[in-house]
Parts: sequence; C-alpha cells; structure tokens
Amino acid sequence: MINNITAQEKELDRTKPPKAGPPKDVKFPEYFDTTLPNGINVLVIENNKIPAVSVRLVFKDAGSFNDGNKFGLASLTAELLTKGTKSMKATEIAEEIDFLGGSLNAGSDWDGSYISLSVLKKHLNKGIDILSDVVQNPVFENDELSRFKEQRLSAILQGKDDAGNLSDKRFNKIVFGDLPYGNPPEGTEESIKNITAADLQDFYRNYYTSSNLIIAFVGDITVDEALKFTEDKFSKLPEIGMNKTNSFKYSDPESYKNVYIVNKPGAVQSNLRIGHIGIARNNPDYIAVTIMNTILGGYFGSRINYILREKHGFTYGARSYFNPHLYSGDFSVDTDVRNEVTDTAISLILEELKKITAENVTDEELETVKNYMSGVFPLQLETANAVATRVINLKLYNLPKDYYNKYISSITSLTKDDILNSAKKYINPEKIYIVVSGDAGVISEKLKKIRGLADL
Amino acid sequence: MKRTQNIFPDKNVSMNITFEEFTLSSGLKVILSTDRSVPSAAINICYHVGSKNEVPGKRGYAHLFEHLMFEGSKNVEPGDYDRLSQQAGCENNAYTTEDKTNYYLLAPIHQLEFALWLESDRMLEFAVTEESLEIQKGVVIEEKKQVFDNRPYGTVSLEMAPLLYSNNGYSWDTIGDVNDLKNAGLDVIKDFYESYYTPGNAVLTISGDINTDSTIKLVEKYFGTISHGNRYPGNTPFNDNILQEETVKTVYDNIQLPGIFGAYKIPKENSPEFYAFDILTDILSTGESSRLYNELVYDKQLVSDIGCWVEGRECSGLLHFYAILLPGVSIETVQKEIDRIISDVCTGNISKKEIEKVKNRTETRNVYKLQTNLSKADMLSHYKTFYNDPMLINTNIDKYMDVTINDIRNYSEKYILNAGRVILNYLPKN
Repeated sequence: MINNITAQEKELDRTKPPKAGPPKDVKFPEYFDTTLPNGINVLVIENNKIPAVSVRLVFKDAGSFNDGNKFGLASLTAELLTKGTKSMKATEIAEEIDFLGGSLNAGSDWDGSYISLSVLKKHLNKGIDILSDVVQNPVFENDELSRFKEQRLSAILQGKDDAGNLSDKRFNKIVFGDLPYGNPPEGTEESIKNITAADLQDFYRNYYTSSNLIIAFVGDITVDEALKFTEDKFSKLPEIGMNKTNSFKYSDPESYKNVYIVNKPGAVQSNLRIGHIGIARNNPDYIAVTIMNTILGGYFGSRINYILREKHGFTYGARSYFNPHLYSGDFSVDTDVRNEVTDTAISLILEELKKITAENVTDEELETVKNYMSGVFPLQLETANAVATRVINLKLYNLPKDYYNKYISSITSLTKDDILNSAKKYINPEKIYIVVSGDAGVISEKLKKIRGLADL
Repeated sequence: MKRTQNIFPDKNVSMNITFEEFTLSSGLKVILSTDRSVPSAAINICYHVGSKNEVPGKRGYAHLFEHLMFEGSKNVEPGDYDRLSQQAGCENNAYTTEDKTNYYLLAPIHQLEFALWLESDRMLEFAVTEESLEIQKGVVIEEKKQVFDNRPYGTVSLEMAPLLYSNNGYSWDTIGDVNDLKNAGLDVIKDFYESYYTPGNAVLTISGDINTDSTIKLVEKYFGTISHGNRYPGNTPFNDNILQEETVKTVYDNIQLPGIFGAYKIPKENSPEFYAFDILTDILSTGESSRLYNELVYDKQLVSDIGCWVEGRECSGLLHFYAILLPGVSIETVQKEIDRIISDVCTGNISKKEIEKVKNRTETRNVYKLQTNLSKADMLSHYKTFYNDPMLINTNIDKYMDVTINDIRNYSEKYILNAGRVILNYLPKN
C-alpha cells in the first residue's frame, strides 16, 4: 500500500496552488425595518438556525458623548437599569434572568446605550417581561448606586495596572482635549464619587425616549411577533427627551508636543499609541480608509505587523486602527514591544506612516486586501446576531441603506490612487502624537534620541 | 442502577449536528459536516500533541512549533502561508494547549481546494529555516511578556502549574521556559515534527457549505498520499500525584488590589465527575444570582470580581476559583467566606430551583455554542482526537442531564472537601 501511495503522490503537482473557481455570491440577509409613529425603529433579523432569540435595544445619543462633566454618567445609568425597578429588586431581576438560562446585559459606549436580552425561544415571553420592566421602570436606588460606585472605583483603580489602558486614556486626552471623546467613558475617581441618583434620573429622562430607540429582534422570531411585542411591551417610554447636546467641533490643540511617557515602573515591554484624529463612521471615504489602513497595519499581513513581528521579532503583534465614532474618531498604531527596541520600533512605524502617504501601494498589496476583505465578509454574517450588529450600525451611524449590499463592490472598485489619496487626506506623519506607557527609567534616554521629549 | 434526584426532569432543547467520518489509508481521521448558512467553510486540523508531550529542557516547544508551522513548508516559501491565504480571502490562526495543537482556516467555499493544498503541504514535509526559527523565538518571548509577565495577575498559570503537578507535562505552562526556548535548535524542532506531525496523529474536520462527495475526493487528493513517518511515540504514561495538603504561595505583582487564585485537581474531561463539577461551578459563580457572586460581590461587598470554573484536560482536570478584593478587605476574610460557600454547595445544600436554573443555562449555552462553522469544526476535531467520539457534540448535553445532587456530594467529598489544593495570594509590590 505504501508503494501505491508513493506513486500517487508523485503524480500530484503540489508546486503551485490550485486555481479557484468563481466566488459564490454573498448576499446580505434580508431584514425588516420600520419606524412606528412614536418614533421607535423596529428591526427584525429573522433566522431559525437555533431556537433562540435576542432582543437588542439601542438608545441613540445616550452615550458617554453626552456625559457633560459627569464622566461615567451614561455608563452608570445603563448599568443601573437592571439593578431595580418599581416592582423588582436587583437580586430578583438577576434570579429571574438566570433562572431562564438567559442573559440580560446593559452598557454604553461613546454614542449610545444598549440593553439586550438573549434567551431560548421557549423563555421569550418571560424574558421580554423583565426587559420591558427594566427599560421602562428603573428606580436608580441610592443603595444600588453606591454599591455600583464602589465596584466602578475599584475597576478604575485596577485599570492603572494595564499599560494599554493607560496609553488609551492619555492618547484620547491628547487627541481630543476637552471634547467628549477625550474623557474616560467609565469615569474618573473624582467624577464617579460626585454622581448622584438624581443625575441618573435626569440622564434617563433625557435620552431613554422612544424617538431615540432602535429595537432589533434577532433569531427565531417573526415580524408579526416582533411588532406585537414592541406595541405591548415598549410603549410606555416618553417620545421626546428634555434636551440634547450633540455638537462636535474639533480643532488641533494649540500647543503641539509629540512624545508623552506614562511611567509604569517595572514594565517589561513598552506599550505604544502613535496617531492623531481620525474619521467619523459615516465618512464617505470610510471604506477607502479601511482598505488603506488594512494594508498599513490592519491585519496580520500588513506592513507594520510584518516589519515589527515577522521581520524583527520585536513584538507579538502590531496593528493600526481608524476607530470611528458618530461624530469623529481617532487613528492610532498600537503595539507592545520589548524595552530595548522602543525607539527603533517607533522610528520604523513613523517610516511606514511616511511611506503610505508618499507612495502608491503595490498591485499585489491592494489585490490581496481586496480578496481578504471580500473573503472574510461572509464570516461576519454567519450568526443572526452578527448580522444584527451590522444592521444596527446602519441605523445608528446613518449609513446608506444599501451600504452592505454594495460593500464588496465598493471594495473591489478601489484603485491605488484612491488608497494614496485617502492616506494623504487622513494621515499626517508630520503631526503625530506618540504615547509610550512603560518603564520611564529604562526607555526615556532612548526616546530623547528620536525627537524632542515633551513630557515626563 | 436507578438514579434518584435526577437534576433534569424535563426534556431539553437539543441540536443535531450531522457529519460523516472516515479514515484515510495514511491514518488521517476525517470528519465532514455540511452547513449552508454562508458560502464558506472551516478547515480544522487537530494534532494530538501539546505541552504535556514536552520534557524539561524543551518546555514551550509545542507552542513554538505552532508558530513555525506558518513559516513555510515544502512548496510554500517562508511568509507565503499567510500571504497566499490572505490572497485567497481566508482567515487563519492556531492555538496550543497542554494536550493539542489546533490549526484552522476559514475559507470562501470556492477556495476549498486551495485551503486543502495549503494545509496539506505543512503536513507533507518540514522546511523551516534557521532564520525563521530565530525570529519566531523572539516573537514567542514577546508573547510571553505581553500575555503573562506584563499583565496584572498574568503569571497565575505559570506559578500554579509546578505547584499542582510535579512529575508530568502539566507541571509547566504551555508558553514554556524562556531559556529552553532560546536553546531550541533546528534539529530538535525537526525531530518534534517527525514525531508528532504525522497523518495518524491528526484529525481533519471540514464544516461548511460543502458537497460531501467532491470534498472526500479533494481530501484524498491532498492528504491521502502523505505517508511520512509514523514515529508517534504514543502517549507517555501520565504519572500524577495526589495533592494531600494545601500549598499556599504569596506572589508580589504590579497590581493595585490583592487577589486569591486557587485550584483543586479533579478527574479528566468527559468523565462523569467532570460534568458534575462543571455544574457545581455554575451554581457557585455563573450569573449574578450565583452563590459566590450574590454573597461576596453583591451582599457583603468584599470583592470586585469572583469566579469559579472547570478546566478540562486529557489526563487530569482542574477546578479553579479566584477573587479580586475590594480595597481594605483582607485575604483571610475572603478565603474564609469562599471556603464556607464552596463547602455548603459541596455538601449538597442545593435547592430545586437552583438545579433547574443550571439546567436552563446549560441548555442555552449548548445551543449558542453550535452557531459557527469554526466552533463546530473545533469541537468535532476535539471529541474525535481525545474520545474517538465526535457524536459528543450532540450527546454531551445528556451527560450534564445525568448529574445528580448525590454525584455532586460524593465527588466533592473526595476531590474538594478531603483533598489538598493550591492557593496563590497575589499582593501589590508596593
């Protein structure tokens, strides 16, 4: 038998990869989308692959963007929703949800607040009763709030252990200054201590309104069921909130410094953030910028990961991101490198930023990323919840309705000029901020050699 | 034997994953499962080798080897595994545990043949260069710093392993030892390949939008003729020691808040005991209404975070717990509370409602984990590799259903209440 195997192996030409046939069409799944007279936007992403349903509520504008000077307010408000209603205590809510084998999670990000329920279909009615109660009848009790504040303060304290978290905070402050995106969404020790139950009540009244609400029903559920649930269970919210402030005006900071060190004595690596202001999610150049950034540092095969990891072995990994929010965003290269090469790594990254803004990418680089992004697109549609996330983003960020239907053709039609133009337009290597979180005693001398060290 | 107090009286929602399996003459075991949700497929290869197959002096080689498998093979130049795979629109990655090394590709379905060509080439012949070896040693050493040394409480598994085990391959973490890694020579690495990266030591699972007949032909074409070596040394006998006593070690770390990390030894994955302990840990710490969370986070406000879970391994399992303390709370106070609550549940003080709650959760978790081709292929490969029973993907829910309160009480008495354990107390350096 071994002889037979050897003979067959000789016949097989393994020297070249086999040619692929034409790709199968990838269609973005159909979904239902309507806005009710009270302003609620109902989405239904029906899929009965598994006998489970998620109900995902999104309150637009109820994010940290509108914290004002009470940093952490949006996130405390969202998380306190499940900690007591007019008829149920926090422990009862937890007990009921756990009993159903489900999950009920609330939280917020910069631009919105979220609360979602996931349960097996057979427990859906009971699950929605609880969801409806916590969204419409939260009480924000003092006792629960002080419990939660203690937890939050300890989380903020623990955050100081994490080099990446320290870099993020400093970087956002430098890039956005006093604008909302410059503040920590989880709050600071000082801001959390000063937030009261009345603040939560106010925030809830202002932003948890039906005109701000998107409800997505996801999974084993029909449109009729979804509409009936919406009408029966979510009609008690007020339609209009009290006031909204959502203007965003960015201007470059007046004084420009380039290198910032966050001292972390004893660190065995340096954590880097190198970047500046980025773009909003609905920027029409978003897809071109994404493809450009993917070539630069957005995936394993990118230039920056290749140089820092595969060529030099300086790091376990390096990536660049355009991190988009509703009104603006940031751009940064993120990595952890060993202490001794901190300066070399920074210089290599800066070279790559210059190169991407000065020269065309190669045909092969562009072709590879186009294929890669189109190839992995179906994987982003594999579960009903993954599809729902994309549909919700369309609505939350005001993207065109056909955005995902045209997604692959928008990618494949990009040219090398489009890539170079987007790099020139959105990356400025001459005015870049460098944040290093690491052991200042070990790395600061080295950093002085690159460029003027601004702040120790 | 008639069981009393069956925890799960009602019928549960079950998922039925269908698949076919066969073995090639080269010894490669193959599983195919069709799922037409999206036009792509997961191609998963599980090699039955992990850090437990290493010996002192070569610690971390299984994982280093995982990195090297991306550095070229007979017909694939160094760097081309990733380049070609990305050009074809594939996602790829790998991971190493104590017991296995698992590789996967997620491919658009029209690139299935390409993916099999690419994956089979690195089973065909070893072709890693000295240069790649040196660079990947550097990458792995940085991985250890980033994931373990520089992360708060990140060294727990490194500290824990040698205290739990002394005379087998579970006595070091999969990441290995920096000096051993630095000393790795190409000859030793090649020997590792010849021993373990053979068709007979691997399971290939493909789950996705496939046609079974044509996929069988493609698998035979690319994997059927690989005949190199069958030097697999077999599973070395697993010598284990019973922990008679409690070992407590204090570790000083760059942290703000003290933490307690503990572990008990329990029987291996897929044993009746293992399923019972999985349920026990759910009662203790899954969900805000669980015992440890409700009492120590919510009610008494002693800790900011608490958890308890089982870790399944081929030869011996572990039951872990941890707590991060709130400022001003003492380690002794929290340890005492944890011990009180664990022993309360272990002695069988479990309510009917608590049991039904765990049943419901197990059922939900079982449904959600079978959603993607990636996770299905991973599970099918896993169950085939270790238990020669991929059907466990559908049937292991029943093993949870079979657990009784008596089981929990009996097993706990032996493995928790009357057993030794390891405790690490993490304290701030300053």
